[in-house]
Amino acid sequence: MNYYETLYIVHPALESGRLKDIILSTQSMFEGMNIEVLNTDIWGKKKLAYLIDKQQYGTYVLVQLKSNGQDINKISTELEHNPNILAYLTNRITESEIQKNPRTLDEQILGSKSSESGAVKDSDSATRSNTTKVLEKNKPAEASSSSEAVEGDKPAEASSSSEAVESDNNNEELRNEENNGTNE
Amino acid sequence: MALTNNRKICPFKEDHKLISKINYKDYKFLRKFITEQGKIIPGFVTGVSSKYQRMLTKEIKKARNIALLPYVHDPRNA
Repeated sequence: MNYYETLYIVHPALESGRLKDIILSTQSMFEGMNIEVLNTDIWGKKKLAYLIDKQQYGTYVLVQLKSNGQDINKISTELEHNPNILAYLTNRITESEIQKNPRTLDEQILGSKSSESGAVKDSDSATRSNTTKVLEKNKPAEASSSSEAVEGDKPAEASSSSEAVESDNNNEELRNEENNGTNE
Repeated sequence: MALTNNRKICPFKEDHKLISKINYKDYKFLRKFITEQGKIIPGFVTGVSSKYQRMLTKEIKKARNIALLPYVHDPRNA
């Protein structure tokens, strides 16, 4: 038996309830193929580095699995034909890389949703001229891959909690900058 | 002599904790080793030894596959 992990991107239009259905259906699909699901980690809604199926955003879900080599091959055909899954990547990992996420699926979905709602608030407030300027300034900085911008970043751990905290921090920074702009 | 003076030290040999960060899931760390356009920076520029450059290249390509890192990026359109 080997250990694998699959990272897949769920369509951004799926809300919390439907997202859970998709995750549970893929889980049951894995179990139907004699693949044991060890851990599920929802990273939350993220901006994609490039468009996939004309979508700019996607919800990343990481699943860690235990299976043999023959069964794991069937995953790709199933995920390929699922219209709700934009992209997927399966990798072999070692036993030491298996994480245990204490949070349940609901907690993770809610956590990722709260960070999403923060992002949505920012985009709503972007209608004001001040904030659009701030966002425009921030966007190239985020998108740029300059070494200086990244050096200060914390190591991105696979846990969704750290991601949520990071995105919250980003939102707070944005809000602070907005406030500064309005004060001036 | 000039060559020896310009020689850089591999960051992964200086700090062994960084080796565990060479993973496609840690895409923010991998951004250090690609240019603004999305190209992988060669090892002789960054000083990364060939062993770790090979690992980096694989992980960057995995991250590109799952849209965590760009294949190409035009900084003018950002």
